[in-house]
Amino acid sequence: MKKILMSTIALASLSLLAGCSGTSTEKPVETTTPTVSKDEFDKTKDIKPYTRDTTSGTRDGFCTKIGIEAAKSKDSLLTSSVSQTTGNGDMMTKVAQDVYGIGYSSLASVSTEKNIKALTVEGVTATAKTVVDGSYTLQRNFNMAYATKVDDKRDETKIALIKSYVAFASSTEGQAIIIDAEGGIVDPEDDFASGKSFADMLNDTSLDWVKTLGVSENGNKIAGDYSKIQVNFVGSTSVEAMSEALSDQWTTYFEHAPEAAHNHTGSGDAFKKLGDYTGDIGFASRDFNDSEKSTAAANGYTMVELCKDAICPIVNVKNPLKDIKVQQLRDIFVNPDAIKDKATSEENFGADYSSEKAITKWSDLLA
Amino acid sequence: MEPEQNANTVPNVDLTRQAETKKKVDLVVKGIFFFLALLCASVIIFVVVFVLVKGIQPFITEYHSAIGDGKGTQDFGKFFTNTTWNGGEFNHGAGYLILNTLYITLFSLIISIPVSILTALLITRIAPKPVASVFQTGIELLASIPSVIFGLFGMGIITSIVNAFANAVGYQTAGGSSMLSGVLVLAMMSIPTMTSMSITAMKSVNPSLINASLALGASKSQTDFKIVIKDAQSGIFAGIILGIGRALGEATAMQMVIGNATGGPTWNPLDTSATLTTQMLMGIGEATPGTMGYDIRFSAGILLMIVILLVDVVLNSAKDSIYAKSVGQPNNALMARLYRRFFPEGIIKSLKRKEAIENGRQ
Repeated sequence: MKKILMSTIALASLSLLAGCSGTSTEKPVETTTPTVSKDEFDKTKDIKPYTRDTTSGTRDGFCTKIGIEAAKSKDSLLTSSVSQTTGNGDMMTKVAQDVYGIGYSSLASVSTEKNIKALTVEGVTATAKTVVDGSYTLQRNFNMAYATKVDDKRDETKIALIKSYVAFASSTEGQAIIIDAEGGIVDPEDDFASGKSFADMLNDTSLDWVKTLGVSENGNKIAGDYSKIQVNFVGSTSVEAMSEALSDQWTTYFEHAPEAAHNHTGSGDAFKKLGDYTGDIGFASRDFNDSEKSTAAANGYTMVELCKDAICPIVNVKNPLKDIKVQQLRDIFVNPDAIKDKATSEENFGADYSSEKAITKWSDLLA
Repeated sequence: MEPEQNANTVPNVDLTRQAETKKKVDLVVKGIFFFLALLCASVIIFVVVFVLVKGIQPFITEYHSAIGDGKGTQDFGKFFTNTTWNGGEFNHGAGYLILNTLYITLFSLIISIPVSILTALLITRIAPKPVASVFQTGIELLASIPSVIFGLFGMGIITSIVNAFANAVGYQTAGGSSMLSGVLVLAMMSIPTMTSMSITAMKSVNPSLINASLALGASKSQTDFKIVIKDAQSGIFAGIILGIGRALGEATAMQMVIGNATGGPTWNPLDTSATLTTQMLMGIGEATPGTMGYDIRFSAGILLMIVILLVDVVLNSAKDSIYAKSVGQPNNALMARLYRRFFPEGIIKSLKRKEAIENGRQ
């Protein structure tokens, strides 16, 4: 009896232990690395790259700017040690947790997290100035396309409402939201920013949308009841917060505001939804491509650049690295097999990176 | 006496009318129940058909590229053999995700099964009543915690523990995001379900079996392991099946701790991994409906449904064969051997004999 009991208990505890022992069986034998104190940065460690998933506009911008555009929609072109993150916030959390991690994020969101820091790229810090003058290269444009042609599905009032939104975005009030509240970067030379206040625009009767919509007696609101009309905002999710902040403020200029419906599903949908009338104003966190431009010309859509955004390489705050080169970023993130020889590299990325060597250790970057 | 009086005062006609009304009510209620059952069943059918129809599309229709001007169809064979989920817009792979999913589930079971059974044993048999009720309340509360909370806990606590553990053994993880973190979170999530089911099963063990075992000289522990667990095995197994279901289908919490590798399969528990569900969830918010990147998630959904179905069938047949053994001849030699190892027959036989005698008396 005792034997049976003992063997049962032994079995039970064994299966309990299996949970722990199983985890350690496949581990490599401890290597003789120099002992590094907990808070010190160990340069001999591997670089752990973090990326966004293939649907992300930030990933699109990042991959394009580091010269591996095809990798924006192809995970197999990235190094196999890469981990995916689900958004800007997740990206920063993961890099904040991983002392040896490197990732990338939109400039506007970088400043909010204490445990990460943005690297300078080729010696240039990402600021509004360096983005506008082009010296900071990891940047992308937030673009907007909107319908301007009256047809049987978009009447004159609808078009006037769309135009009033665009006018608001270009006004000093709108620009303040884009720059201050949403961290967008605007080129002062840019044609889009009108430099006029929206309140002044409302009293400018030479504007056709003002004439169509009508202005209240004291001249500070748009008169008339538009509450039954829906203006649809579609396209990039990266620009969603900005377009919402704009439309929230825009609707306060109405006595009876139209409904601002935001349905952002990705940059690729901006034009698709303008075309099937489920969208009136579309956003893209990238530049419009040639086929989209020809669609716009054929259908009377107007395209404008709303603002610019910088993409910052980010590392853990404990990491002593301060600056990184575009080529180094490429060699950290790219799959070495994809650039192993001239032909493969050119087939994948249209450029010969075969002379470059994959960077996997922090000692490759830190002297 | 009273029924006779009633029969005298209430006319017969009314009785038949009443009976007929009752029959009608029964019929209506039956109809409502049937309708509701049909509704429930049809939801399953709708979901399955919807996922099937959507999931087959990538293999049979030509998709326009979401980023360029190309067109393409997913290759069926490569969907199983590719070792990267996204090897291009029209070139996905999910075979390795099946392996990852099963591997992670198995790992979590190794932790959760012994913990659940022993916890249930403690609560039902060993701990004093007030202590047991506190434990049981805790377990029940744990069962109602949403998975995202487990994910947050995993992200904040478990990953750093795993990271510290990995550092101690000289392995570098992605900040603790790893398969092992996922396994631990899954185990934590399935333990409450398994434990609750085990408790219910153990509580319903016939006390005369336990008393007989004790009377025959078996110690308390012997009785707990050989009689209580043995008699409750069917319920315990049902709990395990539910736990596996939760483990296989978990997405949110897993995605937060597992590291979301782009390829696989992952065998080292300290490396990042991905499962069918985490990969389906990845980027769903920005995926454009109508593109292959969107529809291919339904194809992974089909795989997941098949995996769950197969696991269920295998487990249920295992359960049946264990049950068959406890009442009659084993129908599988290996199972029989395992079974004898865990549940030696001496006590059981003597108990059965005792039970038979008691039944005979009655």
